[in-house]
Amino acid sequence: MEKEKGKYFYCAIRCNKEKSFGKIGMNSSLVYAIPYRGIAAVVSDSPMNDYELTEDNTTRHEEVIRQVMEEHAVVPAEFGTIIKNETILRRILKKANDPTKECLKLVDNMVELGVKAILYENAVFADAKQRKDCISDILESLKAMAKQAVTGDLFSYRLILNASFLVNKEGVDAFSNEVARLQNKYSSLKFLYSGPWAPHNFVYIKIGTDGVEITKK
Amino acid sequence: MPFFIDDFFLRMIGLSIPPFDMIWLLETITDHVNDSRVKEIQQRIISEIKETRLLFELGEITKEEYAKRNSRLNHQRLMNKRVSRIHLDQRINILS
Repeated sequence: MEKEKGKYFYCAIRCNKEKSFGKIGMNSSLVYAIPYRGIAAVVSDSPMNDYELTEDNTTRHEEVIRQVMEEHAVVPAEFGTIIKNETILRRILKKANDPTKECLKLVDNMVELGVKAILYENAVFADAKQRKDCISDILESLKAMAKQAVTGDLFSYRLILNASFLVNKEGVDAFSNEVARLQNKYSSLKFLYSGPWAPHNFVYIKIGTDGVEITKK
Repeated sequence: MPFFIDDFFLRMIGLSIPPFDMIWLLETITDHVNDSRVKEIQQRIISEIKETRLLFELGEITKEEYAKRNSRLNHQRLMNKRVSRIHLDQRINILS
């Protein structure tokens, strides 16, 4: 028996009309926008499956958002969000209309950039104070170039800083130069600099059993 | 058997026998401990997946090595997820 088709939800954008983004979605499905009072949900038709959190799936999800980002500010949805049908999706858009518009205002003309500072394999800090000062110097220097910053979990003992920054599109070059300057300053550290990403760490839509959650940091 | 009598019969007719209540309490505590353990293991596996990716991006492991480790860790993650689902299916306690 064929599974019922739902709508795989990628992100919300500011848009008043129906729009197609081409066959770039999960399983090469057509990605399109369903508008509702000034905002629109970017979706593709999809079976009501659980999408595994694999590299291929997450890359595809991210690629769609990245493509939409070229023309619009986006509020990304959590990976694997599937809405049962268009009626429910419109109900969600109605309920989440105001908070989504607020989030879109925050991220308008902004991108997320990620910076990780990693200790080289045999490098160590002289003491805890030196480590703390180093982290604080990097974080403060980069924060000064960004609108907002959040720090993530340190999942490796060599990872001393894992942070995401919300940066104005025009400020990306200056931010990149600052990362390069810090890399020259701290030779015992390797900087991994990534982006531009959709602002996943600053605004996102999560739809679960508790209802719709629009998060703005 | 004691669990069956306690939860499905005695509680339904409003009776509570202290030793059975104690068994129920111990079972509930065990469930919570197991649940936290599964979550902790899942978190550890996810951290390892991220660390493996990090090592690959740093050029400290080859693409083949990364693919091998990533596939092993993802298998572990799925198995752990399955264990937690089986556990949930078994323990739907409708009376408490």
